[in-house]
Formats: sequence, structure tokens, C-alpha cells
Amino acid sequence: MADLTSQGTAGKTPDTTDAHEAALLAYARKKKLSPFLYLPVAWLVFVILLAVFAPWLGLWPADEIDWVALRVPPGANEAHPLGTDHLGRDMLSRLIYGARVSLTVGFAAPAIGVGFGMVLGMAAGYWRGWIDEVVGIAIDSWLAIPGLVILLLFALVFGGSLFMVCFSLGLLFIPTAARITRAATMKFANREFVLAARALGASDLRILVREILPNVIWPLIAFILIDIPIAIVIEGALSFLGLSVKAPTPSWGGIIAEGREYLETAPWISLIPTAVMFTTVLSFNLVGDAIRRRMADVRESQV
Amino acid sequence: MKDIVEDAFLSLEDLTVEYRLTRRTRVHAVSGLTVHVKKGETLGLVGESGCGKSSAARAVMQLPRPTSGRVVLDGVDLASLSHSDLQKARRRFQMVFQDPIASLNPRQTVREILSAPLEIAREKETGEARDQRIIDMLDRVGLNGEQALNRRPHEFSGGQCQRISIARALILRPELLVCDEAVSALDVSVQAQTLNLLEDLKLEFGLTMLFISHDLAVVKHVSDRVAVMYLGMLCELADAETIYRKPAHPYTRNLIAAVPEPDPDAEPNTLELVPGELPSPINPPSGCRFRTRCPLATDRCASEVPIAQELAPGHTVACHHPMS
Amino acid sequence: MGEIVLDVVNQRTAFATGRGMLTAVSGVSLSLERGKTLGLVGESGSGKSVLARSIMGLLPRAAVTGPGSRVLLNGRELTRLSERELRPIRGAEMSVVFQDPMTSLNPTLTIGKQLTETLRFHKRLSKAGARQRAVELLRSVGLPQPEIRVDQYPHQLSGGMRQRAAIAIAICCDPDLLIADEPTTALDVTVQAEILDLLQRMVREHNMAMILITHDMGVVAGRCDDVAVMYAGRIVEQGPVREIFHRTRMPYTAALLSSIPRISDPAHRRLDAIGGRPPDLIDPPPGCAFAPRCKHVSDRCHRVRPEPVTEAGHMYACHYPLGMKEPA
Repeated sequence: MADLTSQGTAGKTPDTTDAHEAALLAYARKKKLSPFLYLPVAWLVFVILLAVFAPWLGLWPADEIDWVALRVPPGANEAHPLGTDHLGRDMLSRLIYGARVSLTVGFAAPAIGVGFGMVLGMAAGYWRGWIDEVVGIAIDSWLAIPGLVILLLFALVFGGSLFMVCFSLGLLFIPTAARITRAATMKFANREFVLAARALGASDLRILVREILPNVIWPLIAFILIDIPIAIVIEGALSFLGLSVKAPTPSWGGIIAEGREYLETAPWISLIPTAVMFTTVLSFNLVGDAIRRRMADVRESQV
Repeated sequence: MKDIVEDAFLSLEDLTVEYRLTRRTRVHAVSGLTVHVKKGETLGLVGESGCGKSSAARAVMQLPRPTSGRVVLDGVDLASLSHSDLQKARRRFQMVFQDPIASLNPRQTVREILSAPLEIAREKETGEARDQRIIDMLDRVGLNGEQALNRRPHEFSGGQCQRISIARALILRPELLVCDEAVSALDVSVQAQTLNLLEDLKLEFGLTMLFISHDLAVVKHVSDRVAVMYLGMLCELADAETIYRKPAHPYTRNLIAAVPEPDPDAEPNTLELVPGELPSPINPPSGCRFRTRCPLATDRCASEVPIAQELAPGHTVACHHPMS
Repeated sequence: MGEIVLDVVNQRTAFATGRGMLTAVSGVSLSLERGKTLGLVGESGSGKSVLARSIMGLLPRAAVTGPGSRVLLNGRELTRLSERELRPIRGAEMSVVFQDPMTSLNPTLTIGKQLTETLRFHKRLSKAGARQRAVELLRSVGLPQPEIRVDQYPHQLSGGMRQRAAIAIAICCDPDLLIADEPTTALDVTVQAEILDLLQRMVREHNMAMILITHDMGVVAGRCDDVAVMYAGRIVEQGPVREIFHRTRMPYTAALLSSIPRISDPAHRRLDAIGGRPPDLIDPPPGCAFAPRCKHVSDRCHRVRPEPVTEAGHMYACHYPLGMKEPA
């Protein structure tokens, strides 16, 4: 409990705004975006723009070898601002083209997982009964197979196309997405507004799409925000192991792996992509947390 | 009694609702409820929690369909209709729920909420005509239709949300309106506004109403006749004046005595209930279900289910020892 | 005058919100004698529950108490005490019964455990002594088979029995002040009558003072000595129960009374509803808070907030009180 009498405000009428009161008020108003968040947001916008417009930036082709500039350190050659790798390929270009792979996987994999998981979860949570049981058993069986095994199998069988990497990673996100959707669907399926729609003779499809979907989508967006950085990290690990996109195509994890052997002579080959990946994942986490907190506040204020 | 059965607009005949809990146990929510409601009449259905009044309301709405018994609306047994015929018939009977906030989808605008009935019923009209129809309906329930159209439920107070719910229920001009504790969650002053509104709309739309509530005073204000339920069974049914003035069932008497009168000089009523708890609807007492708490219970009450008997024209009571 | 148990002076409680300061309680003063029951009536948002929490010192962090606000329990100023100093007072000198016993009781502890813990903390009883006292208390609140119930968990009891157990815990240390915050709102009417009877008996037997918070004028009429009516964070009328009901001065109280459906009314009587809705507490109107909804409103009501007037123990805040010839 906040007591103002001890703060030397005696003598003021109760209606004067006090320092503490003003501080609390400022806190309540502030809840928007802290200036600390502008940095990660700016970084993400920067990386995404570079990745999207990579072909028009006048960069070196990512796989072109500059024979006169092997292992140039950053800043030493004007033609290669971030230096070159052991094969003389432009680091800046490889990083930016690598970002395309990392970001594609980061967005596509959770989207695929949430897409399938949402359909399964809504069906299970709305109709319950045998559908719920079948979905439950399928999810439990799916979870019983280690994720790494699934990723390895896909990589071996289908090779390293970007689509297959996204798809196999997406499969890993299905069970959690389905569970979150199922729980949210069950919560809303018994609300009076759903009952009112049924009393009006609405079809199940209409109820699912019009009444329930707009409500379960929010926890799923929160879930996607958590999964984007996770997907980027896993893709990096797969590239490092050589299980992601095939060799000439650059990816952050792949560049790090290639630079491994030159850590003593050309450390920047590994360290620069590592730093970039770290910053990007951290930014996604910070921004995701902020958005989720904001969503929770909005939902609270609407109850 | 006879004439009520004949001109009944809504008849619940031997309505039974049971829920399966496990393979062996089931909840006996409503057991053999029979009541008839005339066209344009309001029947109040009162009782305490667990008496089955809400289950009965849901059974009338066929949400879900009752376990057995008939729900006859204007000569048609709803329980026997096919799924698609039932969906088509639904526009004739609508419902208002207790929780004004949970009744409205928080993600939809008022326009979307009120368009839903029209879309589902496949009403053919232009977007403008539909908007006008929604605005008119909102105006009728005492809201500013134009201003409300693009807002979302959280921008309204509880009483206003309940008005939106009422508008949604009435926009297709149903003939039967089921109100399940429709004013229980509202503050007194808002409750009075909403009750007056319901009375006005009933006349304006020529509604037949089934008004379910735990509040006896509220029920009296809107009902022509009142049915009292206890643990899934009908105890007493009479017109609103008689049941409050001359309650014959011992449960009705206690229920009325327990209502606190807003008058400091009113004689404090003493309850004659046998101390104890409400028995479980999973395993209800044999014979008369009220006997475990009834001050007048005898051996007969344990062995024999009391049949509803007519004390006076229109006043039926299901009790072996009715008071007069 | 009897012994004063509780004195609240100019209590003001506000909350910081995104839109500005929300003043939930603005300048409430009241005092309560031992053995008396004060009914605190108001609609949702009137500030009655915030006032109760302000007295108990159970406000959330976002709350601010006005600098001139004082709460005195048995003459000791609670507002100056720290949370640590308050803890032995809460439960022992003042305690509270909430609306929903399912949330106020700890679902993972037996009823007996919750009782004996309180008894041992405040009264320093032995384990066996506390248990024996717990059974006695449960019997005194009318819980059937107290020897068995003492070892049961809250979810094994019905709503009415849970509220009895919550009352047993509230009174176990013989508090001087009991705050009952909508104690029967979640209960059925027949159970409500029993619980209200029990609370009344407890006040008499333990010679406590009680604040009975409710939205139901019917509950207040039969069970209280004094009534305070709250509207928009202020007490707008206060006095002995018969005065309030029979010589109502404040138009809000009158409107509230006439909007209640009564069982003695003829069927289909039209209710005198109060139009409109309560004011925005973040940006309240300058004059009387009830003015926009009042039947007897004049220009003055919109401009000047009426100061409370007390005559013969009956306080009201209105420029044009009912049943009077001309305003003072």
C-alpha cells in the first residue's frame, strides 16, 4: 500500500497530485514501447530490408571467387568492406544472402507448424470426442520421435532444398501449436457467444471461422513470436552440420562452419556471422516479448 | 388446466435431461418436467442452483437436445425435427444469456454481432439495408445505433452489452424468447432498466417468454405464471399472484420466506428447512426429492413420487402434504 | 455512545491507469461502534470494496492513498504501520469474509489446517489446543459434523459450508472488526438467509463491529443498525437504517430503493429505473456526481459539489434533499 503521509506532503489537500502519484501515472502511461526497444526493432528492419532487396544492392555474387583477395580481413579492401572468406568470396554478400535463408526459415517454419497445428487443435477442441482422441494420440506419437531424427531423415531423404528445411522444421512446431489451440478453443467453445451462434443455427464451420478463430489466433501469434528465433537457431545448427541448404548457397550456420578451420588465421569468417545471428535472435526475442506483454495488457483491459 | 394445454404455444412434455458423467453415473438435471405456455405469456421458472432450470432452458433451445420428452413449439415437436429443419426453425426461438460480457464475441464489432443472425438466416438485402435494420434494432433496445455499430463489446457497460444481446436475439423477430438469468449479473438500477425494456419488447414483438431466474422478486415482475423447481423436478406452478400469496409447496414457502425484503420494519421470516445440504443430482433421494430438507416429510414421501395435483384451477403442486 | 472501534478519516484511494488517475474512494469518513453493524451499499464501481480494502491495508501496488487519509482501529493509526506491523493486526483485530470462499480459502490445505495455522500464529496455542478450538469454532458456525469437516479440503464442501468455514477462520481470534464483503452474493437465497443469520449471531456473541458490504438493499434492511450509501467513491447518505429507508434525503438512495423489484409488488409493475450510468471516475463532473441522472437536478447541482450535512445522526450530501421545504 502506498502511503503518502510519510513523504512530507502533509498540508497539501488530498486533491493535489503528488510525486508518487505522478510516478505511478507515468508508469501506467508508459506501458507502450520502451526506447530500449527501438534498437532491436531497427536492427530487424535493417536485416529484413537487406535480405529482401539483396539482388538489387549491387553486391558481389555470393558464390563468386575473387582470386586476388583471399581471406581479406574486414576493412582492408574497399571492394570487400567485411572482407572475404577462405575462397575469396565477399563476406558482406554471403551474410546478406545467408540472411535470406535464415529469415525464410524463421518465418516459414513456425507458420507451417501453426497452420497445421491450428486446424488440428481447433477440430479437437471444438468437436472433442473421437476426433480429440485421435488428434491427441497422433500428437503424442509424433512427440515420441526425437526432433533431431525427423530433421535428419528429411535431410537425407529429400536433400537440402529450402522448402524441405522449412517443412521439416515446421513439423516440429505442430504439436505445441495444436495443444495451445485446443486449450484456447475449449475455453471459447463453451462461452455464451458460441452458444448464441448455435442458437441462431450457425454451422460448425461458421462458428469455427467467425467466432472461435479470431479469439484463438492471439495465443498463436504469441507462439509464433517465440518460435521465430528458435527456428533461426535450429536452421543455423542444421547448416553447421551440413544438413540445411546445399553448399554454394550461403547460410549463416554454413558460413560459421566453413570458417571453423580458419579460426586462428581468419577468425572473422566465423565470428561475423556468429555476431549477426546472435544479434538477430536476441532482437527477435526482445521484440517478441514486448509484443506478447502488450497483447496480454490489451486483453486484460478488455475483460 | 385443460384450456392451457390446448392453446399452448410452447409445451414441455415429460422433459428429461441427463448428462453422463462416467459409464455408470449420470446427472439427473431435469426429470419429467411438464409445463405449457400460452402465446404472449411469460412463464417464470425459479429455483436455486442445481434445480435444473438452466438445463431446461437449454433443452428448449435444443442445445443439446433433451434426453427424452417433447418440446412442442406451435404444434411442432422440436426434438423430432431433422438437423436441417431444426436449424431453419431456430429463428422462431431465441435466447438471452446471463453473462453480458461472455455473450458477445470480444473480437467482433456490434455490426458483425448483429449481422450474424441475418447472414445465417440468409436474409437477402443490400449492405445498406442490413445496416439500417441493425441500427433500427439497436435503437429499439435503447442504444444509439449509429454510434454503436463499429464499436466492440469492451467499449460498453454490462447493461449495454445485455441490450446488444437482446437485439441479437430479437432481430429475426422470433416468437419465443428464453431468458436464462438475463438480468442476474446487472446492478440494481441497470437491472430495472433491462426488466422494463424486456416488458416493452414483449408487447411490441408479441413475444412468448420463458424467464429463468433464481430471484423470486425479479420473476414476479415479469411473469404471468411461475413454476418452481427443485432438484430437477417441478414443485409448484401457479399464476404469479397466487404462488407468492398462497404457496402450497413447503419448498416454495421457504424460498419466498428467504427473500430479504428491503424494509427495516418487515417481520423477519424464519425458515423451516431441515438443516442439511442439497442432495446430489447424481443420486437424488427416492420419492419426493425435497423430503430430506422438508419439515413435513413422512414415510410416504420417501416411497412415493408425488404426482402434480390441481389445488385450484391453474394451481398445481407436486406434494403429498400441500399447505393451503 | 459506545466504544469506537473503527475511525476512517477522509479516506481517499486512487489508482493509476493508462488514461489517468482513477479516484475510487474520494474523501470518505466514518466511524463504527463496538457491537454495531454498518451496511455499506452501492452498485459496482461505487468504491465500496476499495474502501474495505483500504481499511484492511490490502490494496494493490498501483493504489495511492491520499495524504490526509487516516484509518484508526481501536485508536491506533493503521495508515502509519508497515506491512510487517499490520500482519498481526489483520486476522486478530480485524478480519474479512470475501464473496467467494473458494478463492479466499487455500484449496491445498484442509479447513482445520487453515484454522489452526491462524490460531497458532495469533494466539500461540498448542497443536492439540488449536485443533480442539478449531472443531469448537466449526461447530459454533453451524458446520455439521465438525470433527469430520476439520480434515476436509475446501472443494469437498458446498458453497454455503465453505462460507461458514471462512467465517470461522475470520472470527477465530475474536477480532474487533469484521468486514464482510458481499458474503452472500454467490449463494442461493435460502443459504444466504442462513449465512446472514450466522453473521448477525457472531457479531452479538463476540461483541464485534461489522461492516456488511452489499449491493442488496434487502440484505441491509434486515441486518444492519446503520446504513451508508456510496456513489462514485463518496458516501452520499448515512444514518440509522430506519432513517435511510423511511426519511430518505438523497435522491440517489430514493432512486435505488424504488428500482428494486419487490416480492410484495403486484406482477408486471413497472420499475422506476434510474436512467444513464455512473460517472467516469477518472474525469468526474465538477458538481454532484449523481446530477446527470437525478430527477431533481438544478443548475447548481452541476456546478457545485454538495457538502455533507448532518442532522440528528443522519448525513446526506445533496443541495435539494427530499422531504425538505427549501435547501439550507
